[in-house]
Amino acid sequence: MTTESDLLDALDRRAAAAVADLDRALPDGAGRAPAHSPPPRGRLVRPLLLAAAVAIIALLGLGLVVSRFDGGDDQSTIAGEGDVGGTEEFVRLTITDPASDDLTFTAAFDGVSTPTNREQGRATIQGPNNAHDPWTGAVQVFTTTSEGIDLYGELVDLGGVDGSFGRGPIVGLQWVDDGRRHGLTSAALDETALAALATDAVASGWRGDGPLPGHRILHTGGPGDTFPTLPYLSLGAGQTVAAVGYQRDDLAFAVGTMPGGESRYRALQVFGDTEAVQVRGQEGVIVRHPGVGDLVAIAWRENDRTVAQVETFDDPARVIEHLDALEPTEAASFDELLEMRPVDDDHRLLEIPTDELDRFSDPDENPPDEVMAEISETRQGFEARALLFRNEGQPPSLHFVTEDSSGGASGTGAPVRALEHATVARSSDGTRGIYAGVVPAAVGSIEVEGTDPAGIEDIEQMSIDGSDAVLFVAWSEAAAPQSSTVVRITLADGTVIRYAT
Amino acid sequence: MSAVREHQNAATGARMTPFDDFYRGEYRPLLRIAWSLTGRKDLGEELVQEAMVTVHERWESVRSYDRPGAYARRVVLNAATSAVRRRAAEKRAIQRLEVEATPVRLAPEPPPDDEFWSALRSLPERQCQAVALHYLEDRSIDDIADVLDIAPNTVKVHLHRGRQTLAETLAPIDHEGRER
Repeated sequence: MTTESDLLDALDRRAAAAVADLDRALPDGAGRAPAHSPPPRGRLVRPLLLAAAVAIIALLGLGLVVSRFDGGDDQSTIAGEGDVGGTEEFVRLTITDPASDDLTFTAAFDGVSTPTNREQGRATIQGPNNAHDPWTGAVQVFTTTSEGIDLYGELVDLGGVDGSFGRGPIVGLQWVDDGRRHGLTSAALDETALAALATDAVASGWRGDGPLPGHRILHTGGPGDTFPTLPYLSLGAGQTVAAVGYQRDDLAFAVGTMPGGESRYRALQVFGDTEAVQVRGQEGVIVRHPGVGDLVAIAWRENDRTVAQVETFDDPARVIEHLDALEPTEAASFDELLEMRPVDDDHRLLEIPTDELDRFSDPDENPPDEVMAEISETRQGFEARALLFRNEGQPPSLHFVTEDSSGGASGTGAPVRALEHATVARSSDGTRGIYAGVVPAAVGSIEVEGTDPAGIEDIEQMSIDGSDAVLFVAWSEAAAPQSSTVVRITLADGTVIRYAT
Repeated sequence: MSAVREHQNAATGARMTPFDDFYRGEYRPLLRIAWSLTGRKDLGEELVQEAMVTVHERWESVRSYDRPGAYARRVVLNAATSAVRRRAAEKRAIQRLEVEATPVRLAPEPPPDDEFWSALRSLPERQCQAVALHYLEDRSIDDIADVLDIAPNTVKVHLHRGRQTLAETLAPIDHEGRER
């Protein structure tokens, strides 16, 4: 008969074995050092905020890659880590008596919001040499040199080097060459023109150290230069800024001032739709960026070394009415605001409205019109479900969810550029790789480069009505790769697609 | 303003600080706790990162504690408990992440022998934490009391009940389906 003591002894042995197994599975290193950004507030909010931030930054085809930017007009190099060049000289703006406008001060920030991804990099905006106004053909260019460089997406040949296009509304192209990742993003060029420019760059031996062939550098900067990011500072948007937030029941906005001149002012407009406006008695601009909801920037040049940028989710015209109350602020006064309420996990410069988060998360806000195709299969206790949704006015979207019998779920979503192109997502059942995707014709065979075995035998596919394209799910017998891997799909008509996922 | 810059200097690792030593020494033990108590490696890593940021932000105070590690463990344990509670809601959120410009990966990667850890996670909160510290870190009753900030006698009760439940839950089943 088994006694309680026997059971506890058995438990102790089981626990010791489980702890030993866990120890063996732990990584050797200490992981990534903690970033400056404060921790997010809630476990539920975290993925939503990240989804919003990822979507926004991905619009630029950048990822969070640029470590910082300097004074703006400088065309040499980006300032080193921790160096906030020129920040003592630009003007900080605050509302001295917000209560008189029924406004409440929410938070302040001064310095550099450290990017989540701490890669070292360069970013510039470049324009063609021969254009009357090179800003009309502007391309944002970045180069990073960190380890673990991965490409994602359908691979294109750039003259012997793989490249891949981003999948946001703004065209972005990346490639890896000799340990450096380069990226081009443009609202002015289409995919063909961007690929041609990249091919020229590869052929010329361009290494990211200067202008692209036929181009000149217009501005040196980062994501915060080209996109409103004040609500996302605590997520590590990578921005040098002195900023304060104000709100009342029906209105909220954040005021940021940054070192820089005309190029920085123009940079903010590169990817947005602009509207001229009078701000504080001078010319300014309202900038709206397509595909990112209601976040609007109002920008103007406060003086020759300061660019001001106010961001709001509300009507910009109502915000502009309050901007006359802004006054240059002494450093000591600004420090008082910083001490009173610094940006942290409870105090943001500008709260992201719930409905704005829902834009990225709630199917009711952006309902898929219909399921175009669905495959749902279970293998060894793991359900793999791939769905292709048609979305009103948007590209179709691929959803790939795997779920084990205990409820552990892994979800991946990706917009499908077009059914004429491939989109592939991957997951794992804990050991083996599982792949799902949309390709323009029936699948003949699939291989996963770098795995053993490379070939995949277990493939389910179904046609998508009204097209030649198919949706597929494939279960590999090989261990799931730890990092990006290339899936090689041979279609029934012999076409070969290489897709990095 | 100066606080911001000092913060960044430390985060960049430009110079070794006592926090760096603390980080390197405590990362793996904390990850061991967070991974086993959440059942997800990615989430465990995130919780440890967040805990480290919390410790970092309060480092001037925390470093003066007799045992800064106990504070970090309390942060991780509480965060893991909250994370498990929120799992159902998060799962719904995952399913709502519909149209992303970039794929968002949420790989669960359970710890090895997750049957054991899953049973541990199903214990009441304090029992779970006490038993976890007992097995994962071989801590004494007093140590566990220090980390959890409760009385040693309370720890004894939680440990006893937790181990008892766990032993019964994980008791092998004989070929006739009866518990032995």
